Amino acid sequence: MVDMRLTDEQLELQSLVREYSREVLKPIVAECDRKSQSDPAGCFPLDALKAASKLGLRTLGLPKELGGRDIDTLTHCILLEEVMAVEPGFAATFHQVWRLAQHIGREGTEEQKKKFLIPFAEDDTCLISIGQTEPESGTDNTFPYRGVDGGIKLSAVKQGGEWVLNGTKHFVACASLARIFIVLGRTDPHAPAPDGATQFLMWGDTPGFRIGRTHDKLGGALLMNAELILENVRVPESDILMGVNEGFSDKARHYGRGAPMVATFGLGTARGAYEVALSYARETSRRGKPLIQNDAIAMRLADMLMLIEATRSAIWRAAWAVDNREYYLQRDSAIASYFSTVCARSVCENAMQIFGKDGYTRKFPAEKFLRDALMTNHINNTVDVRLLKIGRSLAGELVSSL
Amino acid sequence: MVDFILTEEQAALKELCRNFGEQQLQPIADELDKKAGEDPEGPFPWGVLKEFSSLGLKNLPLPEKWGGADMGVLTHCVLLEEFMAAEAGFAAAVHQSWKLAGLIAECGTEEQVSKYIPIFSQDDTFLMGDGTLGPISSPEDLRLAATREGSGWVIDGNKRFVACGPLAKLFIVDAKVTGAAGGMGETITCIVPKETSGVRPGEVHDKMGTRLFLESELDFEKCRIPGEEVLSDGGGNGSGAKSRYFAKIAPTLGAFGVGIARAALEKSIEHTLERVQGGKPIFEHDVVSFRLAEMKVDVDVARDLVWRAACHSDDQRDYDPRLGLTSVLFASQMAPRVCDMAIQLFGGYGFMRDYPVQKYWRDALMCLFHGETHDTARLKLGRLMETEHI
Repeated sequence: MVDMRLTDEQLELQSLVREYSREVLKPIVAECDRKSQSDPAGCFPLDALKAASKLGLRTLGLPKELGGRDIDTLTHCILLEEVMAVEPGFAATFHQVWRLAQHIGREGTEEQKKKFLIPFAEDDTCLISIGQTEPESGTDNTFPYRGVDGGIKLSAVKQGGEWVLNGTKHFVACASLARIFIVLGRTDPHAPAPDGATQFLMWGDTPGFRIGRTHDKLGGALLMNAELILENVRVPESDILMGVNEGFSDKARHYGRGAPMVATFGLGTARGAYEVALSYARETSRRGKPLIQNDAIAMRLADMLMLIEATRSAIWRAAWAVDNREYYLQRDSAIASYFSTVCARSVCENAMQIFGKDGYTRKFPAEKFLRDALMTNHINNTVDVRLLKIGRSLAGELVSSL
Repeated sequence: MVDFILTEEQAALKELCRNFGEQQLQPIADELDKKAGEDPEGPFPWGVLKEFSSLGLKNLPLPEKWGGADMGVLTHCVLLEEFMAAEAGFAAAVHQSWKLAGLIAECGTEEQVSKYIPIFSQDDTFLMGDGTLGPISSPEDLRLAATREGSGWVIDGNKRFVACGPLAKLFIVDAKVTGAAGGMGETITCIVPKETSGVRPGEVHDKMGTRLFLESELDFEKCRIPGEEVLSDGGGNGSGAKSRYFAKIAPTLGAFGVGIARAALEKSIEHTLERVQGGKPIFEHDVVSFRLAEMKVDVDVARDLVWRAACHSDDQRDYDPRLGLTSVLFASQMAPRVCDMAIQLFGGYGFMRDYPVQKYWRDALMCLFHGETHDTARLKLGRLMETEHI
């Protein structure tokens, strides 16, 4: 039966995360953003992460027996929205750590869980990062290209009971801070990348492994994307996550969980911009009345709310379908993530307009939301790839299932 | 717990309505639409309505003791989408009856219910006509005047765009109270049988789309309405039972756009798979893929929003009237946009009356005038934000 009520557990977590975001994160947003302009690698508020750990937020993705909640996709989206609405870059950190702890918890061996997840649970500042994208291979991995010349190049060669990894990753989320890494290496150079890549687990202090520069980005600064440089990094066979050459399998892609989660980036960012614009329009008077009493402003706000509610609906359905496998269609997730980008750009731009010229200044929060919103253009997939996936999928479609 | 699965009953009804639309409505849609060009009053397919009623569909919103199924807002949206996808004019006509029968059943007095609901439920060709303000209009705009006379009212004036005006056997109309009896902006909602003396259908509007959905003027001249024919607590200021009912069923207006746009998308996929240019079906050109994808996104997102809003209407615990309004706004903007893209995918054929997409586009534009203009609806939603909690 169609139902839109959240469970008691979801509501409880939602209000916990909302309170944390408003009380711990909101006061430091502007300062961190300013700091990121001169010091992209040093702007991350570790104290806020520690506070989150104390509340149990960092470990929500862990299996229950390790002290987590093993949150499902819908819950992930609902909670992520709350943090996104305050600080999108920092929120993305939660997204990484929730999904990756869950990934290792679900797919890892007992030995791997012991080696990586137990220390992870105990260390308040421990984050997990996954390195997939390389300077020469981005969309080739996500809109899979079947030629053997494409896809990831970071080489992984077996020597005895170990694999030796060489190569470079970039745009790796949370890389400057993370202690635990999952790195995708090409284990079969003669097969197309989707069939010849493997996920390797490693600690950041493994010999030969280092972090390159932290990328200086337009927005989402607290996501701390950086390069990974691997020179003769030796990984034991037992630290391969799932099997050899399963790096792009359904299992490896978390059975599609990522897309609705990433769609929440756009939704939450849009909501954040909407909320600051709405408060401003209510509290600021011009020509003797609050801004919101001007028709043009009221209509803009209406359009913003409309897009936000539409996006939230699409994300909830996509997330629900991921959690209820028999209803899963990759396209639904692509729809949610495409539309959330449309929503984020439009809503954040409208928010900026409501602030007038002030909106263009750093003194007010609207411009930051707009910069953060542009992050959604290319996370997981570029906007165009999402559209192409949706378009192509319509061919095999029985028209009656539309 | 969040769930998107229809009940077995809902799924079976949806299937029934889809088949009904495909078999009974689609084959005659084009011909009747053309006929309306010569004679705007002529085309309503009474035979199809009888069939519709005999399947039990007309009475769905009524309580079970009156032969209905107590259909909620979500079911209304799901089924309406199917009819909209087949023939938007017919769909709009039966939607009016669903909506108004539900209004009487939910907001009428016991006498009104037992007087009108049995007549409605037993007559296969009974349609209801709507002269109310609907969910997004304002009482200031009423031109119809109601003056107290003893325990009843005298109604004078003229209404335009009365839904099902030439077809209905019973009208529900809003009028503005005049004189000392009425405070500022006070309105009454009355039940007016077609044969009431002083009521006369006026000119049938010659519309660009949804032409089976006949709308007309309705003239009132010293029309006497007994007090007991006024809906209790019908006030139009947003606080009365009628206003709450209309706000509750607002998502059903979103289903208009979803159904029409879906039909345009279905036809576009069929066409682009068949039409060969540049040596391959145009479907395989990326630029066409992009367009189809945008259409699909629009339709699906609108449906998700309509369902979510409808669900909150049915389960009043977390009810927020803004959600219903957003669903109407989004679906109503979306439908003309999707139909416009469909016309472009058909190339020159899209402009020809022999092909269906131009009709979808004409029908879809109706969505911009649900009661009032689309901009007024946007403004109304914006106004709600002045005070409400974030």
